Amino acid sequence: MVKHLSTLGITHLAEWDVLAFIYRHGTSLAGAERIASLLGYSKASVGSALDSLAAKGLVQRSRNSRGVRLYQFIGAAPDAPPQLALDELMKVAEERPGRLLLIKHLKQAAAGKNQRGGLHLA
Amino acid sequence: MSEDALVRTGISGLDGILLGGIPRNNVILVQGETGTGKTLLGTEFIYRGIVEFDEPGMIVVFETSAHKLVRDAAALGWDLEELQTRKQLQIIFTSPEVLEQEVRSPDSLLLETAAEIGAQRIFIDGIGLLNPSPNQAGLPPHAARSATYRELLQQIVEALSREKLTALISHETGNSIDRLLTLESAGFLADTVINLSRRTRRGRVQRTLEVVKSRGQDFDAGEHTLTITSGSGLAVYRRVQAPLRLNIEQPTSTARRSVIGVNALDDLIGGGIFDGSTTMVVGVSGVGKTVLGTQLLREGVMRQGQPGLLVSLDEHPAQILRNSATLGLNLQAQVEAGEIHILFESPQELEIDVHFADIVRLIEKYDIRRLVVDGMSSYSTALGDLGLYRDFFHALVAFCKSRLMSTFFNYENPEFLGISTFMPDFPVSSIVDNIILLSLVELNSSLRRCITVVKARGSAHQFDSREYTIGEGGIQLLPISEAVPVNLPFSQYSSVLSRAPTRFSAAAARSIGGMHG
Repeated sequence: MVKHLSTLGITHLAEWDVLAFIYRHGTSLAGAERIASLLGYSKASVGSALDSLAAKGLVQRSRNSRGVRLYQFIGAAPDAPPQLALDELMKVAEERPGRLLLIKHLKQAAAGKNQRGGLHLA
Repeated sequence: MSEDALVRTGISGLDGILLGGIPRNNVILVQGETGTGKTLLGTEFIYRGIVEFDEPGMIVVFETSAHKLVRDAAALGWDLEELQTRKQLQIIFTSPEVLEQEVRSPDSLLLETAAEIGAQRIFIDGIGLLNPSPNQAGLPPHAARSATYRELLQQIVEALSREKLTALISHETGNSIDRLLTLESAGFLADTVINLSRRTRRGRVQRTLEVVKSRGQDFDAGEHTLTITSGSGLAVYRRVQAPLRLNIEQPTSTARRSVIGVNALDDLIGGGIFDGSTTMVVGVSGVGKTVLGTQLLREGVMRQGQPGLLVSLDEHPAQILRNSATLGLNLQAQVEAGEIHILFESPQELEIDVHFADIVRLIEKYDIRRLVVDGMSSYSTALGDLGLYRDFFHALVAFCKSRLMSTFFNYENPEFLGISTFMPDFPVSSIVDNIILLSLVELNSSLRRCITVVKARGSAHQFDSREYTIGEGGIQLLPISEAVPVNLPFSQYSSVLSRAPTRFSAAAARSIGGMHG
């Protein structure tokens, strides 16, 4: 699991949840606030996650239209490492124990970063 | 209306109800309670538009995830994923507030996406979720907000019409005041309103579809049966009560044809049956109604080149074929040659609209000329609704007559000895052209079979009751004066059809014998 998260470059739980949300919904026409309200995060956390995912090339987002954008998951080739990593993580996260394991890893990763002076989750 | 002016839904049976389709650019509202199939109908509208009519489309959802929509569609055999990959379909997850804002803005992302894929259709699932907030704080100051739901919806309808998108929107019905008010507005503003219902009847789930209104066109009104089938999707079956929309006048034939190739029976009926005539064969169980039906069909095929169809609710085809074979009636050969077809359907949970559609489909596909419906009384039991039973019968008779088909209905009369009424549960004697009674008569100590033609419209039929046997080759009428050993012939009795036939005196018998020569 750590390897797959590392392949995708995901280090925060918010990034994973936002990525999974966009992946599940295909194409979303929404603002950060709307996604935040659905996922239970602050708008700032979701905004930060979206920026990060876009920078990593995992999510494509359109121009801003009155506060909303089109968000689409950028799928890689089926046998490309990022796609394989995502597929594996999705399988793990489908079950409750897997979800809890993911949370544990990401929280540890975030804590480790914080100790090194990394990003704070809002 | 020309074909170009209509948008075909592509949903099985629905375009027929709509007499070809829906006027282009009509806003279509599909309403119904939870579980009635609104999302499925909307999705199939978009799917069929793409695969059958090359009209790309969009699906807008507020609560369902695209992933689940794709998953559920796959169970019906629809590959939405592939269509998205090919840029013919776009599924968008958003909120009602964003939709309202986007649809009204000509340069919006939503409309931009629609233009990119060349979308001609759009399905919006759950328009009832639109809810104009009374508190306008936080809304974009430059946007005009509607004060009421109706005004909000009207703006969306206007926008969709401006973009020339044929829009199908779904709205959940319910008992809450909010739902009733929003539904009323949606129903008024939409050009076409389709109502989906789901009810439980005698433990069975029944789905129906009704076109409530459709501006600019005629349609078949009333509740039609709706089915959802794994691997194919939705199907609408026109209700049997809906009158046929035929452009031809009722045809009439003067051609007389042999019933079963037995001269005696043809003489009884006045020279044979007319093409397009309807005959009711009435009798208690075991008198040979099915045998007669089998002979009717074989006669039609072998002597007259008329394909036949046997519809049965009582007997499985294998049993029908076996029983025929024991009488030397090789029905199997005609079935294998595709000259005679058998439609068997269990009376359990019979969907009459679907059943009628299956009969019509077979008749049209194989150009059936003779139809035997074996077991009319089973329909009565299966349907449990006398009105529906009667409607089915009328619809089938009307359809068969329009095609000049000869139709035979077997009805099991419960009266064992003697018949006082033709069909106790449903008087149809005035509807059918011919009535043949098969009954049992007790003479001395044995039961003998009796055939009587009590009605033959347009024919000078005989009123004699004739004895018949069932043996090799099926039903055979005995000569009128032939006596079965030990017992006296029919001609020695009066009141044969009553429950108490009376033997004539010797003098009277001699007199009658003289009359018959």
